[in-house]
Amino acid sequence: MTRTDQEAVQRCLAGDAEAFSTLVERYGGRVYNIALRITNDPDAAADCAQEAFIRAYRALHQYDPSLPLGPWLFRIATNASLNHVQRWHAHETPIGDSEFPESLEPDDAGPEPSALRREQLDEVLAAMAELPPHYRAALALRHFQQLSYQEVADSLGIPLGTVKTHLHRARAALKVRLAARAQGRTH
Amino acid sequence: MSDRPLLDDLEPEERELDRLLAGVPPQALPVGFRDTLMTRLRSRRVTWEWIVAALFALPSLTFLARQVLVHGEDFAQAIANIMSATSSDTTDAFFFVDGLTVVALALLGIACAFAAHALLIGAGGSRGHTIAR
Repeated sequence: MTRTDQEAVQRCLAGDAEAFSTLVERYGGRVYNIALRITNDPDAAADCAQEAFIRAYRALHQYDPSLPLGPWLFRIATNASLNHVQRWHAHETPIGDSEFPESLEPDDAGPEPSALRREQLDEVLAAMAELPPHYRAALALRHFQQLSYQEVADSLGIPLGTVKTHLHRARAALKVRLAARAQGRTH
Repeated sequence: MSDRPLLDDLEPEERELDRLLAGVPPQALPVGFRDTLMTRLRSRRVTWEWIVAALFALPSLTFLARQVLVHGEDFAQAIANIMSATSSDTTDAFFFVDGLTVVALALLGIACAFAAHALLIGAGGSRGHTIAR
């Protein structure tokens, strides 16, 4: 049965824990992907996403139903992931080979462009993994989750101006790293 | 292409990077993520109930054990009286139970109720059933 986030939250608060599984189903993928981009480690990301949902479940009574649930959940997930990175230095974990399956997406132009594209995306993700965690968090929320500046600010719990500064610096740092990687390949 | 909605507050210098990053496909949730999560939520709830059950049960059991040690003969006599009353024509079955013992037994009953509930939730959770309140 489809119900709004607020209805599901109300049911959870009334004691129907199964309603929470609806929210997990709805936001699980996005929360996991935010954690994945911050930790760069699928196992750590799964742990952080689980921890985020458990924290959210326990703090549901603090949620303001007049606000959208997504940014509230993303904020918890971001905090859990950043805490994890600070605790375990997971950002130093080298990311493995391509995380994309061979058949990334149907490509009308044939297999060669698809492979090139996969390689390009791997480069971007590898460069992103070298950024400081709070830059990765801002980029993940803004560009992977397609949140507005205000939603990113709400999710990170920092002022709007700081978000713009973080994103500006993150983009500049990403460009520098991508250029360095491109240069490294040519030599 | 990504089916994610495009941002409407994109700044010019963001467009190129956004186009690039929007092409990164989201990773699927690990298999069994939701079930694992719900099981963890249940186990925390069950742990809480077991603690409450223990808090009720342990003092009561300690008190009842002490009562049996100190007034064991009285209890034995009361049980003997009841047994003799049920096996004979007489209706006299005198026994005495003090108020604290009744309270201890009541608390033990509450503890048993909590423990039974925790057991039911645990069993239900392991089969993937709906969580009881």
